[in-house]
Amino acid sequence: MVDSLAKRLRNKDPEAYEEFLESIEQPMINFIYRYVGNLNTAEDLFQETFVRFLRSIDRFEPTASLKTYIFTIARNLCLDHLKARKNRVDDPALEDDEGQVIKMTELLMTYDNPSKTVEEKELQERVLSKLQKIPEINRDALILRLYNGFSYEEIAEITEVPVGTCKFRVHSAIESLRELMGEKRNLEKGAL
Amino acid sequence: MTCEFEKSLTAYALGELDAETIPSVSSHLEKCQSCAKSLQALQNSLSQFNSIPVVKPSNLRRKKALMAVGNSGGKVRVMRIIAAVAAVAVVLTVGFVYMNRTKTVEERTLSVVETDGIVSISKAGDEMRVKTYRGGYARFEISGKEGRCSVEVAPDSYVAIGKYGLAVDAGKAFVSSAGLQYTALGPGGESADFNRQSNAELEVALLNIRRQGSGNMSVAEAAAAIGKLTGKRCNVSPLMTDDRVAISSIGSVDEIVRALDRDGFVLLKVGDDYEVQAVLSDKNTKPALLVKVVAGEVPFRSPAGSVVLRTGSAGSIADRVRTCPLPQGYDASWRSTSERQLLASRTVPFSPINVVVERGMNQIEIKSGRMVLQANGKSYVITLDGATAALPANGSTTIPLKVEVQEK
Repeated sequence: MVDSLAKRLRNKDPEAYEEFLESIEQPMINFIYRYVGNLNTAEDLFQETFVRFLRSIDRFEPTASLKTYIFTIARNLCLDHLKARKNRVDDPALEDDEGQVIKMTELLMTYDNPSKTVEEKELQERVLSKLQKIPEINRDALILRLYNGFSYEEIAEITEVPVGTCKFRVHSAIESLRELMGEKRNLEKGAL
Repeated sequence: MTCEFEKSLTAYALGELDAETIPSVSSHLEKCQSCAKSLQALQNSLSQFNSIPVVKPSNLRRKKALMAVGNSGGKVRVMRIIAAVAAVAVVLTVGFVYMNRTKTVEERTLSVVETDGIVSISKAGDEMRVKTYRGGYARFEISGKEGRCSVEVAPDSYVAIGKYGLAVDAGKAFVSSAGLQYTALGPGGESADFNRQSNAELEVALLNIRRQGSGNMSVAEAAAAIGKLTGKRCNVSPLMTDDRVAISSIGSVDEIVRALDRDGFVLLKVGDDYEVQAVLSDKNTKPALLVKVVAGEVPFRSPAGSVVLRTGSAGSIADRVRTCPLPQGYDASWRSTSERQLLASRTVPFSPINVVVERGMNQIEIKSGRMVLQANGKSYVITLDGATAALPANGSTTIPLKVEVQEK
Protein backbone atom coordinates (compact mmCIF):
# COMPACT_ATOMS: atom_id res chain seq x y z
CA MET A 1 0.00 0.00 0.00
CA VAL A 2 2.86 2.31 0.90
CA ASP A 3 4.49 1.43 -2.37
CA SER A 4 1.38 2.24 -4.25
CA LEU A 5 1.08 5.56 -2.43
CA ALA A 6 4.67 6.36 -3.34
CA LYS A 7 3.88 5.47 -6.91
CA ARG A 8 0.84 7.70 -6.91
CA LEU A 9 2.85 10.52 -5.40
CA ARG A 10 5.43 10.08 -8.12
CA ASN A 11 2.67 10.25 -10.67
CA LYS A 12 1.59 13.55 -9.16
CA ASP A 13 -1.79 12.24 -8.18
CA PRO A 14 -3.50 15.12 -6.31
CA GLU A 15 -5.55 12.70 -4.24
CA ALA A 16 -2.39 10.97 -3.15
CA TYR A 17 -0.95 14.33 -2.13
CA GLU A 18 -3.95 14.98 0.06
CA GLU A 19 -4.00 11.48 1.46
CA PHE A 20 -0.36 11.65 2.39
CA LEU A 21 -0.60 15.16 3.77
CA GLU A 22 -3.48 14.15 5.95
CA SER A 23 -1.54 11.25 7.38
CA ILE A 24 1.62 13.17 8.21
CA GLU A 25 0.34 16.65 8.93
CA GLN A 26 -0.20 16.43 12.64
CA PRO A 27 2.95 14.49 13.62
CA MET A 28 4.99 16.62 11.27
CA ILE A 29 3.78 20.05 12.36
CA ASN A 30 4.17 19.06 15.99
CA PHE A 31 7.66 17.77 15.41
CA ILE A 32 8.73 20.96 13.65
CA TYR A 33 6.99 23.16 16.20
CA ARG A 34 8.81 21.51 19.06
CA TYR A 35 12.08 21.53 17.19
CA VAL A 36 12.14 25.21 16.23
CA GLY A 37 9.95 26.47 19.07
CA ASN A 38 7.81 28.77 16.98
CA LEU A 39 4.53 27.90 15.35
CA ASN A 40 4.77 30.49 12.59
CA THR A 41 8.12 29.16 11.52
CA ALA A 42 6.82 25.63 11.86
CA GLU A 43 4.01 26.41 9.44
CA ASP A 44 6.51 27.68 6.87
CA LEU A 45 8.85 24.77 7.31
CA PHE A 46 5.96 22.35 7.07
CA GLN A 47 5.05 23.72 3.66
CA GLU A 48 8.63 23.72 2.52
CA THR A 49 9.10 20.17 3.70
CA PHE A 50 6.18 18.97 1.67
CA VAL A 51 7.34 20.83 -1.41
CA ARG A 52 10.84 19.37 -1.14
CA PHE A 53 9.48 15.95 -0.43
CA LEU A 54 7.50 15.93 -3.65
CA ARG A 55 10.37 17.38 -5.60
CA SER A 56 12.58 14.55 -4.47
CA ILE A 57 10.04 11.75 -4.46
CA ASP A 58 11.70 10.25 -7.52
CA ARG A 59 14.76 9.60 -5.42
CA PHE A 60 12.80 7.84 -2.72
CA GLU A 61 14.01 4.29 -2.12
CA PRO A 62 11.17 1.82 -1.65
CA THR A 63 13.18 0.18 1.13
CA ALA A 64 12.59 3.19 3.37
CA SER A 65 9.23 4.39 4.62
CA LEU A 66 7.64 7.53 3.26
CA LYS A 67 7.20 8.78 6.79
CA THR A 68 10.84 8.53 7.79
CA TYR A 69 11.80 9.95 4.41
CA ILE A 70 9.73 13.10 4.86
CA PHE A 71 10.82 13.45 8.48
CA THR A 72 14.42 13.34 7.31
CA ILE A 73 13.66 16.25 5.01
CA ALA A 74 11.84 18.10 7.78
CA ARG A 75 14.70 17.59 10.20
CA ASN A 76 17.26 18.83 7.71
CA LEU A 77 15.17 21.89 6.98
CA CYS A 78 14.82 22.58 10.69
CA LEU A 79 18.56 22.25 11.14
CA ASP A 80 19.17 24.65 8.24
CA HIS A 81 16.69 27.06 9.70
CA LEU A 82 18.23 26.93 13.17
CA LYS A 83 21.67 27.37 11.72
CA ALA A 84 20.55 30.36 9.70
CA ARG A 85 18.82 31.78 12.74
CA LYS A 86 21.97 31.57 14.77
CA ASN A 87 23.79 33.48 12.08
CA ARG A 88 21.19 36.19 11.84
CA VAL A 89 21.30 39.14 14.11
CA ASP A 90 17.88 40.31 13.12
CA ASP A 91 15.76 37.24 13.50
CA PRO A 92 12.13 37.61 12.47
CA ALA A 93 11.18 34.36 14.12
CA LEU A 94 12.49 35.60 17.42
CA GLU A 95 10.81 38.93 16.92
CA ASP A 96 7.55 37.12 16.53
CA ASP A 97 7.65 35.84 20.02
CA GLU A 98 7.89 39.27 21.52
CA GLY A 99 6.85 41.96 19.14
CA GLN A 100 4.05 40.31 17.27
CA VAL A 101 0.65 41.76 17.83
CA ILE A 102 -1.22 38.60 17.13
CA LYS A 103 -0.08 35.39 18.66
CA MET A 104 -0.42 32.30 16.58
CA THR A 105 -2.76 30.86 19.16
CA GLU A 106 -5.14 33.66 18.32
CA LEU A 107 -4.69 33.24 14.62
CA LEU A 108 -5.07 29.58 14.24
CA MET A 109 -6.66 28.36 17.43
CA THR A 110 -5.49 24.94 16.53
CA TYR A 111 -4.23 23.64 19.80
CA ASP A 112 -5.78 20.47 20.97
CA ASN A 113 -5.51 21.23 24.66
CA PRO A 114 -5.69 24.93 25.25
CA SER A 115 -4.30 25.65 28.67
CA LYS A 116 -6.87 26.29 31.31
CA THR A 117 -4.74 28.07 33.85
CA VAL A 118 -1.97 30.59 33.81
CA GLU A 119 0.27 28.07 35.53
CA GLU A 120 -0.30 25.48 32.85
CA LYS A 121 0.40 27.99 30.15
CA GLU A 122 3.56 29.11 31.87
CA LEU A 123 4.69 25.53 32.19
CA GLN A 124 4.04 24.90 28.49
CA GLU A 125 6.05 27.96 27.53
CA ARG A 126 8.81 27.04 29.92
CA VAL A 127 9.14 23.50 28.62
CA LEU A 128 9.10 24.68 25.03
CA SER A 129 11.66 27.34 25.75
CA LYS A 130 13.98 24.98 27.64
CA LEU A 131 13.62 22.41 24.88
CA GLN A 132 15.21 24.93 22.54
CA LYS A 133 18.27 25.06 24.75
CA ILE A 134 19.09 21.41 24.28
CA PRO A 135 21.67 20.75 21.54
CA GLU A 136 19.88 20.21 18.22
CA ILE A 137 21.19 16.73 17.61
CA ASN A 138 19.84 15.57 20.95
CA ARG A 139 16.69 17.60 20.66
CA ASP A 140 15.49 16.03 17.44
CA ALA A 141 16.07 12.54 18.77
CA LEU A 142 14.13 13.39 21.93
CA ILE A 143 11.18 14.85 20.05
CA LEU A 144 11.05 12.02 17.55
CA ARG A 145 11.10 9.52 20.36
CA LEU A 146 9.05 11.21 23.03
CA TYR A 147 6.51 13.14 21.03
CA ASN A 148 6.34 11.31 17.74
CA GLY A 149 6.79 7.82 19.08
CA PHE A 150 9.35 6.74 16.49
CA SER A 151 11.36 3.63 17.19
CA TYR A 152 15.09 4.01 17.62
CA GLU A 153 15.57 2.29 14.28
CA GLU A 154 13.40 4.89 12.62
CA ILE A 155 15.15 7.72 14.43
CA ALA A 156 18.46 6.27 13.30
CA GLU A 157 17.21 6.35 9.73
CA ILE A 158 16.00 9.93 10.03
CA THR A 159 19.04 11.29 11.80
CA GLU A 160 21.48 9.07 9.93
CA VAL A 161 23.33 7.82 13.01
CA PRO A 162 23.54 4.37 14.61
CA VAL A 163 20.73 3.16 16.85
CA GLY A 164 22.96 3.22 19.91
CA THR A 165 23.81 6.84 19.31
CA CYS A 166 20.13 7.68 19.07
CA LYS A 167 19.45 6.06 22.42
CA PHE A 168 22.29 7.96 23.98
CA ARG A 169 21.04 11.21 22.52
CA VAL A 170 17.50 10.71 23.77
CA HIS A 171 18.65 9.91 27.25
CA SER A 172 21.07 12.82 27.27
CA ALA A 173 18.33 15.14 26.09
CA ILE A 174 16.04 14.03 28.89
CA GLU A 175 18.76 14.66 31.43
CA SER A 176 19.53 18.06 29.93
CA LEU A 177 15.91 19.04 29.91
CA ARG A 178 15.45 17.97 33.49
CA GLU A 179 18.46 19.99 34.50
CA LEU A 180 17.25 23.01 32.62
CA MET A 181 13.85 22.69 34.23
CA GLY A 182 15.48 22.48 37.62
CA GLU A 183 14.00 19.06 38.24
CA LYS A 184 17.24 17.41 39.21
CA ARG A 185 18.21 20.23 41.48
CA ASN A 186 14.86 20.01 43.25
CA LEU A 187 15.27 16.31 43.62
CA GLU A 188 18.71 16.70 45.14
CA LYS A 189 17.43 19.39 47.48
CA GLY A 190 14.62 17.08 48.50
CA ALA A 191 17.10 14.32 49.12
CA LEU A 192 19.17 16.49 51.42
CA MET B 1 22.27 8.60 44.04
CA THR B 2 24.98 6.13 43.37
CA CYS B 3 22.80 3.12 42.87
CA GLU B 4 23.79 0.83 40.01
CA PHE B 5 20.20 0.83 38.79
CA GLU B 6 20.16 4.56 38.37
CA LYS B 7 21.31 4.38 34.78
CA SER B 8 18.44 2.06 33.94
CA LEU B 9 15.74 4.32 35.25
CA THR B 10 15.31 6.43 32.13
CA ALA B 11 15.01 3.37 29.94
CA TYR B 12 12.61 1.91 32.50
CA ALA B 13 10.46 5.03 32.51
CA LEU B 14 10.44 5.09 28.72
CA GLY B 15 9.47 1.42 28.56
CA GLU B 16 12.63 0.54 26.71
CA LEU B 17 14.04 -2.14 28.94
CA ASP B 18 14.01 -5.67 27.67
CA ALA B 19 11.66 -8.12 29.29
CA GLU B 20 14.47 -9.88 31.16
CA THR B 21 15.71 -6.74 32.88
CA ILE B 22 12.37 -5.28 33.91
CA PRO B 23 11.70 -7.65 36.86
CA SER B 24 15.06 -6.94 38.45
CA VAL B 25 14.57 -3.15 38.19
CA SER B 26 11.02 -3.39 39.46
CA SER B 27 12.11 -5.48 42.37
CA HIS B 28 14.91 -3.04 43.15
CA LEU B 29 12.53 -0.11 43.07
CA GLU B 30 10.44 -1.72 45.77
CA LYS B 31 13.45 -1.81 48.03
CA CYS B 32 15.38 1.32 47.09
CA GLN B 33 13.64 4.50 48.20
CA SER B 34 16.15 6.73 46.46
CA CYS B 35 15.63 5.10 43.08
CA ALA B 36 11.86 5.08 43.55
CA LYS B 37 11.99 8.78 44.26
CA SER B 38 14.18 9.38 41.23
CA LEU B 39 11.83 7.41 39.05
CA GLN B 40 8.88 9.37 40.35
CA ALA B 41 10.67 12.64 39.58
CA LEU B 42 11.64 11.38 36.16
CA GLN B 43 8.08 10.41 35.38
CA ASN B 44 6.90 13.82 36.51
CA SER B 45 9.43 15.42 34.21
CA LEU B 46 8.34 13.30 31.28
CA SER B 47 4.77 14.25 31.98
CA GLN B 48 5.76 17.92 32.00
CA PHE B 49 7.53 17.51 28.68
CA ASN B 50 4.25 16.37 27.25
CA SER B 51 2.52 19.54 28.37
CA ILE B 52 3.46 21.38 25.19
CA PRO B 53 0.14 21.77 23.40
CA VAL B 54 -0.54 19.59 20.44
CA VAL B 55 -1.12 21.50 17.23
CA LYS B 56 -4.24 20.18 15.61
CA PRO B 57 -4.56 19.32 11.94
CA SER B 58 -5.81 22.17 9.85
CA ASN B 59 -7.51 22.06 6.53
CA LEU B 60 -6.07 25.46 5.71
CA ARG B 61 -2.54 24.30 6.45
CA ARG B 62 -2.92 21.30 4.18
CA LYS B 63 -4.37 23.38 1.41
CA LYS B 64 -1.58 25.89 1.73
CA ALA B 65 0.91 23.09 1.41
CA LEU B 66 -0.88 21.78 -1.65
CA MET B 67 -0.92 25.24 -3.13
CA ALA B 68 2.77 25.59 -2.42
CA VAL B 69 3.34 22.42 -4.38
CA GLY B 70 1.31 23.74 -7.27
CA ASN B 71 3.29 26.94 -7.41
CA SER B 72 6.62 25.34 -6.85
CA GLY B 73 5.86 22.95 -9.68
CA GLY B 74 5.79 25.96 -11.91
CA LYS B 75 9.05 27.10 -10.47
CA VAL B 76 10.56 23.70 -11.07
CA ARG B 77 9.52 23.86 -14.68
CA VAL B 78 10.98 27.32 -14.97
CA MET B 79 14.17 26.10 -13.44
CA ARG B 80 14.34 23.30 -15.97
CA ILE B 81 13.99 25.75 -18.77
CA ILE B 82 16.64 27.87 -17.19
CA ALA B 83 18.88 24.86 -16.99
CA ALA B 84 18.47 24.28 -20.69
CA VAL B 85 19.21 27.87 -21.43
CA ALA B 86 22.22 27.65 -19.19
CA ALA B 87 23.91 25.37 -21.64
CA VAL B 88 23.80 28.19 -24.11
CA ALA B 89 24.22 31.20 -21.93
CA VAL B 90 25.41 30.60 -18.42
CA VAL B 91 25.62 34.21 -17.50
CA LEU B 92 22.03 34.87 -18.44
CA THR B 93 20.87 31.89 -16.52
CA VAL B 94 22.64 32.93 -13.38
CA GLY B 95 21.08 36.32 -13.68
CA PHE B 96 17.67 34.85 -14.17
CA VAL B 97 18.00 32.47 -11.28
CA TYR B 98 19.14 35.33 -9.11
CA MET B 99 16.12 37.33 -10.09
CA ASN B 100 13.82 34.46 -9.32
CA ARG B 101 15.53 33.88 -6.06
CA THR B 102 14.93 37.41 -4.99
CA LYS B 103 11.23 37.27 -5.69
CA THR B 104 10.20 36.54 -2.17
CA VAL B 105 7.76 38.15 0.12
CA GLU B 106 10.62 39.19 2.31
CA GLU B 107 11.55 41.76 -0.26
CA ARG B 108 8.05 43.08 -0.44
CA THR B 109 6.70 45.75 1.77
CA LEU B 110 3.26 45.97 3.19
CA SER B 111 1.65 49.22 4.17
CA VAL B 112 -1.81 50.08 5.37
CA VAL B 113 -3.58 52.53 3.12
CA GLU B 114 -6.88 52.72 4.90
CA THR B 115 -8.55 51.23 7.91
CA ASP B 116 -11.51 51.97 10.07
CA GLY B 117 -11.07 49.54 12.87
CA ILE B 118 -8.63 47.47 14.82
CA VAL B 119 -6.22 45.90 12.44
CA SER B 120 -3.11 43.94 13.22
CA ILE B 121 -0.32 43.38 10.81
CA SER B 122 2.45 41.01 11.62
CA LYS B 123 5.29 39.30 9.90
CA ALA B 124 6.19 35.75 10.57
CA GLY B 125 8.92 34.10 8.61
CA ASP B 126 7.99 34.31 4.98
CA GLU B 127 4.47 35.34 5.71
CA MET B 128 2.80 38.62 6.31
CA ARG B 129 -0.44 38.46 8.18
CA VAL B 130 -3.28 40.88 8.42
CA LYS B 131 -6.13 40.46 10.78
CA THR B 132 -9.06 42.72 11.33
CA TYR B 133 -10.89 42.76 14.61
CA ARG B 134 -14.27 43.88 15.81
CA GLY B 135 -15.71 44.84 12.50
CA GLY B 136 -12.63 46.64 11.34
CA TYR B 137 -11.77 46.73 7.68
CA ALA B 138 -8.37 47.30 6.14
CA ARG B 139 -6.96 48.17 2.80
CA PHE B 140 -3.30 47.66 2.39
CA GLU B 141 -0.77 47.55 -0.35
CA ILE B 142 2.01 45.13 -0.98
CA SER B 143 4.83 46.51 -3.05
CA GLY B 144 7.66 44.68 -4.64
CA LYS B 145 10.01 44.85 -7.54
CA GLU B 146 7.42 43.42 -9.86
CA GLY B 147 4.70 45.84 -8.97
CA ARG B 148 2.12 46.24 -6.30
CA CYS B 149 -0.97 44.58 -5.10
CA SER B 150 -3.79 46.13 -3.18
CA VAL B 151 -5.73 43.95 -0.84
CA GLU B 152 -8.89 44.79 1.00
CA VAL B 153 -9.71 42.70 3.97
CA ALA B 154 -13.26 42.50 5.10
CA PRO B 155 -14.15 42.99 8.75
CA ASP B 156 -13.18 40.17 11.07
CA SER B 157 -11.00 38.49 8.51
CA TYR B 158 -7.58 37.06 8.50
CA VAL B 159 -5.35 36.96 5.48
CA ALA B 160 -1.93 35.43 5.28
CA ILE B 161 0.27 36.52 2.41
CA GLY B 162 2.99 33.98 1.90
CA LYS B 163 5.54 33.50 -0.77
CA TYR B 164 3.21 31.01 -2.38
CA GLY B 165 0.09 33.02 -2.33
CA LEU B 166 -2.59 34.57 -0.30
CA ALA B 167 -4.77 32.63 2.07
CA VAL B 168 -7.96 33.80 3.62
CA ASP B 169 -8.96 32.17 6.83
CA ALA B 170 -12.18 33.98 7.54
CA GLY B 171 -14.36 36.51 5.89
CA LYS B 172 -13.18 37.64 2.53
CA ALA B 173 -10.48 39.52 0.78
CA PHE B 174 -10.63 41.64 -2.28
CA VAL B 175 -7.49 41.72 -4.32
CA SER B 176 -6.54 44.14 -7.00
CA SER B 177 -3.07 44.11 -8.29
CA ALA B 178 -0.82 45.31 -11.01
CA GLY B 179 2.34 43.35 -11.37
CA LEU B 180 2.39 41.21 -8.31
CA GLN B 181 0.64 37.95 -8.84
CA TYR B 182 -1.00 36.04 -6.10
CA THR B 183 -2.85 32.87 -5.97
CA ALA B 184 -5.71 33.23 -3.61
CA LEU B 185 -6.79 30.44 -1.40
CA GLY B 186 -9.82 30.01 0.77
CA PRO B 187 -10.19 27.99 3.90
CA GLY B 188 -11.65 25.15 1.93
CA GLY B 189 -8.70 25.21 -0.40
CA GLU B 190 -10.55 27.04 -3.11
CA SER B 191 -8.24 28.91 -5.35
CA ALA B 192 -8.35 31.28 -8.22
CA ASP B 193 -5.48 32.63 -10.21
CA PHE B 194 -5.54 36.18 -11.22
CA ASN B 195 -3.53 37.46 -14.08
CA ARG B 196 -3.01 40.59 -15.95
CA GLN B 197 -5.57 42.07 -18.25
CA SER B 198 -3.14 43.66 -20.64
CA ASN B 199 -5.69 45.57 -22.66
CA ALA B 200 -6.85 47.51 -19.67
CA GLU B 201 -3.46 47.72 -18.03
CA LEU B 202 -5.31 46.36 -15.15
CA GLU B 203 -4.73 43.22 -13.31
CA VAL B 204 -7.96 42.33 -11.77
CA ALA B 205 -8.59 39.90 -9.12
CA LEU B 206 -12.00 39.36 -7.76
CA LEU B 207 -12.28 37.17 -4.84
CA ASN B 208 -14.88 36.32 -2.38
CA ILE B 209 -14.19 33.38 -0.27
CA ARG B 210 -16.71 32.32 2.21
CA ARG B 211 -16.06 29.66 4.75
CA GLN B 212 -18.10 27.21 2.80
CA GLY B 213 -17.74 29.02 -0.46
CA SER B 214 -16.17 28.03 -3.67
CA GLY B 215 -13.67 30.76 -4.12
CA ASN B 216 -15.80 32.58 -6.58
CA MET B 217 -18.05 35.43 -5.80
CA SER B 218 -21.69 36.15 -6.02
CA VAL B 219 -22.77 38.34 -8.85
CA ALA B 220 -23.85 41.12 -6.53
CA GLU B 221 -20.46 41.11 -4.92
CA ALA B 222 -18.82 41.01 -8.31
CA ALA B 223 -20.78 44.09 -9.24
CA ALA B 224 -19.60 45.91 -6.17
CA ALA B 225 -16.06 44.76 -6.71
CA ILE B 226 -15.98 45.78 -10.35
CA GLY B 227 -17.36 49.12 -9.35
CA LYS B 228 -14.56 49.63 -6.89
CA LEU B 229 -11.94 48.44 -9.29
CA THR B 230 -12.92 50.55 -12.18
CA GLY B 231 -14.15 53.52 -10.24
CA LYS B 232 -17.39 53.26 -12.15
CA ARG B 233 -20.86 52.78 -10.92
CA CYS B 234 -21.86 49.19 -11.07
CA ASN B 235 -25.31 48.67 -9.71
CA VAL B 236 -27.74 45.93 -9.41
CA SER B 237 -30.40 46.51 -11.95
CA PRO B 238 -33.48 48.12 -10.50
CA LEU B 239 -35.48 46.25 -13.11
CA MET B 240 -34.95 42.96 -11.42
CA THR B 241 -37.94 41.27 -9.95
CA ASP B 242 -38.41 37.97 -8.29
CA ASP B 243 -39.52 36.22 -11.39
CA ARG B 244 -37.07 37.63 -13.88
CA VAL B 245 -33.47 36.98 -14.12
CA ALA B 246 -31.09 38.84 -16.26
CA ILE B 247 -27.39 38.46 -16.22
CA SER B 248 -25.44 40.41 -18.70
CA SER B 249 -22.85 38.95 -20.96
CA ILE B 250 -19.53 40.23 -19.92
CA GLY B 251 -16.37 39.68 -21.84
CA SER B 252 -13.22 41.37 -20.73
CA VAL B 253 -12.47 44.07 -18.25
CA ASP B 254 -12.54 46.49 -21.13
CA GLU B 255 -16.00 45.33 -21.92
CA ILE B 256 -17.07 45.90 -18.36
CA VAL B 257 -15.66 49.37 -18.47
CA ARG B 258 -17.35 50.08 -21.81
CA ALA B 259 -20.66 48.76 -20.47
CA LEU B 260 -20.33 50.95 -17.45
CA ASP B 261 -19.57 53.96 -19.62
CA ARG B 262 -22.43 53.23 -21.92
CA ASP B 263 -25.15 52.11 -19.55
CA GLY B 264 -23.96 53.25 -16.19
CA PHE B 265 -24.36 49.82 -14.78
CA VAL B 266 -23.79 46.19 -15.51
CA LEU B 267 -26.52 43.71 -15.03
CA LEU B 268 -25.17 41.15 -12.74
CA LYS B 269 -27.90 40.49 -10.33
CA VAL B 270 -30.37 37.72 -10.32
CA GLY B 271 -33.45 37.33 -8.22
CA ASP B 272 -33.04 36.48 -4.60
CA ASP B 273 -34.21 32.98 -5.32
CA TYR B 274 -31.04 32.10 -7.09
CA GLU B 275 -27.49 31.82 -6.15
CA VAL B 276 -25.17 32.69 -8.93
CA GLN B 277 -21.45 32.70 -8.83
CA ALA B 278 -19.21 34.65 -11.08
CA VAL B 279 -15.52 34.72 -11.53
CA LEU B 280 -13.34 36.92 -13.61
CA SER B 281 -10.81 34.82 -15.34
CA ASP B 282 -8.48 35.05 -18.23
CA LYS B 283 -7.37 31.48 -18.17
CA ASN B 284 -6.95 29.65 -21.42
CA THR B 285 -8.48 31.94 -23.94
CA LYS B 286 -9.74 35.44 -23.68
CA PRO B 287 -10.72 37.07 -20.43
CA ALA B 288 -14.30 36.58 -19.54
CA LEU B 289 -16.53 37.03 -16.64
CA LEU B 290 -18.03 33.65 -16.37
CA VAL B 291 -21.41 33.59 -14.86
CA LYS B 292 -22.82 30.28 -14.05
CA VAL B 293 -25.77 29.02 -12.17
CA VAL B 294 -24.66 26.79 -9.39
CA ALA B 295 -27.72 26.26 -7.37
CA GLY B 296 -31.09 27.69 -6.88
CA GLU B 297 -34.68 26.91 -6.84
CA VAL B 298 -36.62 28.40 -9.67
CA PRO B 299 -40.19 28.98 -8.63
CA PHE B 300 -42.45 28.56 -11.58
CA ARG B 301 -45.03 31.24 -11.93
CA SER B 302 -48.64 31.17 -12.82
CA PRO B 303 -49.70 30.28 -16.35
CA ALA B 304 -50.12 33.93 -17.04
CA GLY B 305 -46.47 34.58 -16.48
CA SER B 306 -43.27 32.80 -17.07
CA VAL B 307 -39.92 32.42 -15.55
CA VAL B 308 -36.84 32.69 -17.61
CA LEU B 309 -33.54 31.81 -16.14
CA ARG B 310 -30.81 32.77 -18.45
CA THR B 311 -27.12 32.99 -18.06
CA GLY B 312 -25.05 33.94 -20.95
CA SER B 313 -21.84 35.21 -22.35
CA ALA B 314 -19.98 35.17 -25.58
CA GLY B 315 -20.15 31.42 -25.77
CA SER B 316 -22.10 29.59 -28.42
CA ILE B 317 -25.66 28.60 -27.80
CA ALA B 318 -27.13 25.19 -28.16
CA ASP B 319 -30.74 24.37 -27.50
CA ARG B 320 -32.75 21.31 -26.95
CA VAL B 321 -36.47 21.49 -26.53
CA ARG B 322 -38.57 19.01 -24.77
CA THR B 323 -42.28 19.37 -25.19
CA CYS B 324 -44.49 18.06 -22.50
CA PRO B 325 -48.06 16.97 -23.12
CA LEU B 326 -50.33 19.31 -21.29
CA PRO B 327 -54.03 20.04 -21.28
CA GLN B 328 -55.32 21.74 -24.36
CA GLY B 329 -54.93 25.44 -24.28
CA TYR B 330 -51.64 25.37 -22.53
CA ASP B 331 -48.50 25.49 -24.49
CA ALA B 332 -45.97 24.23 -22.05
CA SER B 333 -42.51 23.56 -23.18
CA TRP B 334 -39.28 22.76 -21.52
CA ARG B 335 -36.23 24.33 -22.91
CA SER B 336 -33.04 23.04 -21.56
CA THR B 337 -29.85 24.46 -22.80
CA SER B 338 -26.52 23.51 -21.54
CA GLU B 339 -23.25 24.98 -22.49
CA ARG B 340 -20.42 23.89 -20.32
CA GLN B 341 -19.68 27.29 -18.98
CA LEU B 342 -22.10 29.85 -19.90
CA LEU B 343 -25.56 29.13 -20.93
CA ALA B 344 -28.63 27.64 -19.41
CA SER B 345 -32.08 28.72 -20.34
CA ARG B 346 -35.52 27.42 -19.78
CA THR B 347 -38.97 28.78 -20.04
CA VAL B 348 -41.85 27.11 -18.35
CA PRO B 349 -45.20 28.78 -18.25
CA PHE B 350 -46.67 27.19 -15.20
CA SER B 351 -46.06 26.80 -11.52
CA PRO B 352 -45.15 25.79 -8.87
CA ILE B 353 -42.65 23.08 -9.77
CA ASN B 354 -39.21 23.61 -8.44
CA VAL B 355 -36.22 23.14 -10.62
CA VAL B 356 -32.79 22.88 -9.17
CA VAL B 357 -29.85 23.48 -11.37
CA GLU B 358 -26.56 22.16 -10.17
CA ARG B 359 -23.53 23.26 -12.09
CA GLY B 360 -20.85 22.70 -9.56
CA MET B 361 -20.49 19.05 -10.47
CA ASN B 362 -20.88 19.62 -14.15
CA GLN B 363 -24.30 18.22 -14.16
CA ILE B 364 -27.81 19.44 -14.28
CA GLU B 365 -30.40 18.07 -12.01
CA ILE B 366 -34.09 18.55 -12.38
CA LYS B 367 -35.83 17.79 -9.15
CA SER B 368 -39.14 16.11 -9.22
CA GLY B 369 -42.21 18.18 -8.59
CA ARG B 370 -45.96 18.03 -8.55
CA MET B 371 -48.54 20.65 -9.25
CA VAL B 372 -52.23 21.03 -9.59
CA LEU B 373 -53.36 23.02 -12.56
CA GLN B 374 -56.79 24.50 -13.03
CA ALA B 375 -57.71 24.66 -16.69
CA ASN B 376 -60.91 24.68 -18.67
CA GLY B 377 -62.94 24.15 -15.52
CA LYS B 378 -61.04 21.03 -14.62
CA SER B 379 -58.19 20.18 -12.30
CA TYR B 380 -55.10 18.41 -13.50
CA VAL B 381 -52.31 16.91 -11.50
CA ILE B 382 -49.05 17.33 -13.29
CA THR B 383 -46.12 15.32 -12.08
CA LEU B 384 -42.61 15.92 -13.23
CA ASP B 385 -40.07 13.19 -12.64
CA GLY B 386 -36.62 14.17 -11.60
CA ALA B 387 -33.73 13.80 -13.97
CA THR B 388 -30.03 14.26 -13.95
CA ALA B 389 -27.72 14.71 -16.86
CA ALA B 390 -24.02 15.24 -17.16
CA LEU B 391 -22.91 18.29 -19.02
CA PRO B 392 -20.64 17.50 -21.91
CA ALA B 393 -17.35 19.27 -22.34
CA ASN B 394 -18.63 20.86 -25.50
CA GLY B 395 -21.95 21.31 -27.12
CA SER B 396 -25.21 20.60 -25.45
CA THR B 397 -27.19 17.91 -23.82
CA THR B 398 -30.78 16.82 -23.79
CA ILE B 399 -32.49 16.00 -20.57
CA PRO B 400 -35.41 13.68 -21.10
CA LEU B 401 -38.19 14.66 -18.75
CA LYS B 402 -41.14 12.58 -17.85
CA VAL B 403 -44.28 14.57 -17.27
CA GLU B 404 -47.57 12.95 -16.39
CA VAL B 405 -50.86 14.76 -16.57
CA GLN B 406 -53.86 13.28 -14.84
CA GLU B 407 -57.30 14.67 -14.55
CA LYS B 408 -58.18 15.07 -10.89
